[in-house]
Amino acid sequence: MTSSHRPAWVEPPNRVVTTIKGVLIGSILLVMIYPLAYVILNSFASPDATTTAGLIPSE
Amino acid sequence: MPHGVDVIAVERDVEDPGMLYFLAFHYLPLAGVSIAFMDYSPFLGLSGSTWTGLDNFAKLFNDPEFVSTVRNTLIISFLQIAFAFPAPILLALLLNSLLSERMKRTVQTVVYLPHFLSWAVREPWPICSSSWGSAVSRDGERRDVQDSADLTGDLEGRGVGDDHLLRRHSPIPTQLYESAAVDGAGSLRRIWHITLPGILPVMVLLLILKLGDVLSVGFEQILLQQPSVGAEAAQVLDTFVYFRGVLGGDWGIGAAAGLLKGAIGTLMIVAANRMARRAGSEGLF
Repeated sequence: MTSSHRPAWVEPPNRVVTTIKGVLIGSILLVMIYPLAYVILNSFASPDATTTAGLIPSE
Repeated sequence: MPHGVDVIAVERDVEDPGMLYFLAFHYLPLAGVSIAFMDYSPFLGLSGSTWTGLDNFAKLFNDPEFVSTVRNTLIISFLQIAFAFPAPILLALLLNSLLSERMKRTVQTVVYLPHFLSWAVREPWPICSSSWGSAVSRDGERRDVQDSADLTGDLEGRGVGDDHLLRRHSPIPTQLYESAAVDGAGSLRRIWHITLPGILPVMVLLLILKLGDVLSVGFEQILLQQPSVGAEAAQVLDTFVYFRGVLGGDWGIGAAAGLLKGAIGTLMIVAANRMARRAGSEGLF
């Protein structure tokens, strides 16, 4: 089956390469989104919860 | 071209605010460089302060703190060039290899997200993440702030550099890839023989600009992280100028350190540009 995005001259996707790309992109997205989520969630938390909690403050 | 439109006048209207900006915020403040050669007092002003020649530079080079400051700056700068500079190139290649336009746009958008946050709110994250790990020894603290500066600078720079690269990267004609594939070139060979030569001029341009900023490793970021690790590990030239000049009132030494940083940056840009031109690239100027 050919993907509608894939030109005819591009090789069919290799499972190993696709997995490596997926892991890399997933890591980049995590590294970018994690600090943002941390800042947004802690901006709604109490000062005590901000200093002691992890990503998700309890208060 | 529409009839009656004076192109030169339109260009002048567009250019004038830019020229005024550079004049007001970049060229007029250069007069302050003279503070580096004075025993400057803000109460006396530039005209009332006495000239001391190169005394401030002599004091600066004899200051033990200045040596560790330059060492910290160079270490952080080297880490930023080693890790932050190739990051946008690798990301651009990775994104270019994606076939899904939606995924490509999503990753590009997410990569830009840190630009919307100030260092003041981003700063707690690396410190908290290191406190989640094992206890950090005094020796380990130095590594922490330098790694953190390197990685966060990496995140900051990646999006912008990536965008420049992709814009430059996109004009590479698809026919080149297609004919290479017909000739039997695999994806890695296409990257090596078509993509990398295509984006090489932008890579050189980015490297020249980065080398000009080699002693600027991020004032705000380092200043905010400094209290958690101490000045010995996180005193860089920018923070040295701030603490010594602005807070310490030693304006002459602060200005001398700033002038030295600017002079080295200019030399690096000129040298890198000359090397780039000698290697066959267009260079920056």
